[in-house]
Order: sequence, then structure tokens, then C-alpha cells
Amino acid sequence: MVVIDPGTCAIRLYRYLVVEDCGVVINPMVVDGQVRGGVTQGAAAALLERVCFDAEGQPVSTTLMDYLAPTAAEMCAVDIVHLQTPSRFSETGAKGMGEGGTIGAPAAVLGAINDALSDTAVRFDHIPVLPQDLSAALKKTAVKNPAVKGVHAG
Amino acid sequence: MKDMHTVSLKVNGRDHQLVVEARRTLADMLRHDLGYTGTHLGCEHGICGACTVILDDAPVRACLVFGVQADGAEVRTVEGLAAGEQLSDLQQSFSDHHALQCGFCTPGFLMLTEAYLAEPDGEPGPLTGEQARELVASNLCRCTGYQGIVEAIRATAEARARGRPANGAPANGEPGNGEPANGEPA
Repeated sequence: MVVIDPGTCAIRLYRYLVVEDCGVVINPMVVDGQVRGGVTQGAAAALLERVCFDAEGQPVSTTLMDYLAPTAAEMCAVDIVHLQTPSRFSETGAKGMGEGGTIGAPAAVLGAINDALSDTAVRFDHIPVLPQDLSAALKKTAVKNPAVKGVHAG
Repeated sequence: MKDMHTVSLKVNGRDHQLVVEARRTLADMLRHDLGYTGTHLGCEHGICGACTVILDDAPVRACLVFGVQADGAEVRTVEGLAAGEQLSDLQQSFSDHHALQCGFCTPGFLMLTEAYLAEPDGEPGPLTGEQARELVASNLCRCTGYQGIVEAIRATAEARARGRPANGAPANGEPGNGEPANGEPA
């Protein structure tokens, strides 16, 4: 779930719930840590991180001032629910759990953004969704449809 | 010609005197000249905070401070937190709450938090999740998603505010409290 500031178009993660199945959970603390770390990478890909090139193909996001990695302030707490379907193909019944959060997060965050925008005509189908992208898209639809004024949290 | 300077400083309670180039950063001086390699260099341009050390009670990014600026100062690095094999309460809390995975950023988070919790004005008391997140938002961690770090810091702040250290470990919060031997580079 995300909250969008109608004035600045800043998008904040508000609540994040993961339901994942890594088969048999051997060390719950490590599994939770991997899931949360993965979600952070994926959510940041949807909201912050972008590699930019100039017209000559020169990379321009070359420092951590240009390439925005998430800090603790951009992340929210991540709740996790485990499903445990033992794998038939491993000794312990465990499956991989490192990448799951990263793979699911961009689509989940994009879905949350579109849900928050459900009162408007704006929809996104690409990441990252940056505040300037959202602001531009809202201005564009506002011209087409002057009735659209603000964005509600969703 | 190299612009060389004599620098005298105390690191984790131990006196050092050395001659460094004016352009030598505090981080490089600690790591290369003095052997305190627990201080990690991530971005080397002041964003990631991995190199955070405590310089006269204030957390600083050692990659943005010149070694000569530490002349006459007291520096605390991550090596100074534990008493021998005994982790400090903050370190133990990081371990208990899975606040690290690869551990590269951990020295920076530890020193940043240590400086905050040991502020001369007194213990800041328990922290809300939002306060803890704001505190560590100056440093980057790519593994944990920060939740474990936030929980570890909150638990330590709460335990110290209650007046007893978490997990029975000594509250290792005073600057220069360790024996000089504790802070020796490995």
C-alpha cells in the first residue's frame, strides 16, 4: 500500500505484506531477513533507482547522489506470512528465498501506485515511477479532464 | 613535493603519532597507516556512511575528514566497541535482531548509533520506529531492508533507558572506556 502526496507527487510505502513459500523454513530469522532485503531492492527499483545515459551513451547516474538507493526512511516495515510447501527436489524440502522479494516487489508497488491513482485516469505500466513522472502524467490528464484535481491515498 | 604533517591522536583509547600527507583521509589513515580495518569504505564520497567513526563524540564520515583534522582528537572505531570477545550491548543486539547480512555497512551503523545513544546530554531514551529510521537514514544498507537494524537500535535504546544493558552485556557506551588493548587492530 502506498500513500501519494497530491502536492509533491511523492510516493511513500505505507504497508507491505509478503506471502511467500520457500518450502521448509530452516532458519526463520535468516529467511525473514532475505525476504525483507529482497523486497527493499525490488521496491526501490519501482520507486527510486534508475540508470540514465546522455545522448552520447555516457552514463550519468554515476554516484549515489544520482542513483538513489533506498534508506531506512524510504522503507516501511515488511510483514511476512510463510507458506511451507516442502520441495520434493531438495534434501531438506527447502527452496530458494533470496530473489522472491525482489521479483515480486516492482509489480506489487506498481499495482499499489495504480490503486492509489484509481480516482484518476493515470495508470503506470513501467518502473520506476518517479514523482516527476507522476506529476507530468497528472498534468496531462488534468488538461484532458479538468475535473481531476487531486490524488487520494490508496 | 609531498605535503607531510605529523598527527597525534587517540584511537579507542590508544595513543598514536604518525606522519601523513595532507590529502590522506581519516578513513585511509585509520585503515592503511594504523591498521584499523574495521572501518569500511563504501562509496568514498560521503553518501553511504559505511566509514562512520566517532571523532570527539560526534559521528563523522571518515572518507570526508582529512587525517590531519583528527590531530589532537579522540577517535572511536568499531574495534573499540567490544571488550575482547565480549560484544557490546549494541553489537549483541545487532546480532540478535539479524541487523546484518553481509556486514559491510555494519561498522558505520554501529558507530552512528553508538554516538547517538551516548550523546553527552544523556541517553535519548526509547526511540519510535520512525525516529530510529530517521537516525539511520544517513547510512545505506543493501541487504537487510533496514528492519533488523531499526529493531536492534530500538531494543538497545530501550534497554539503556531502563538502566540495564540488553542481554547482560556491559553497556559499553562511554568514550575511551575500553582498555587500550581492546582497540588494537587485529
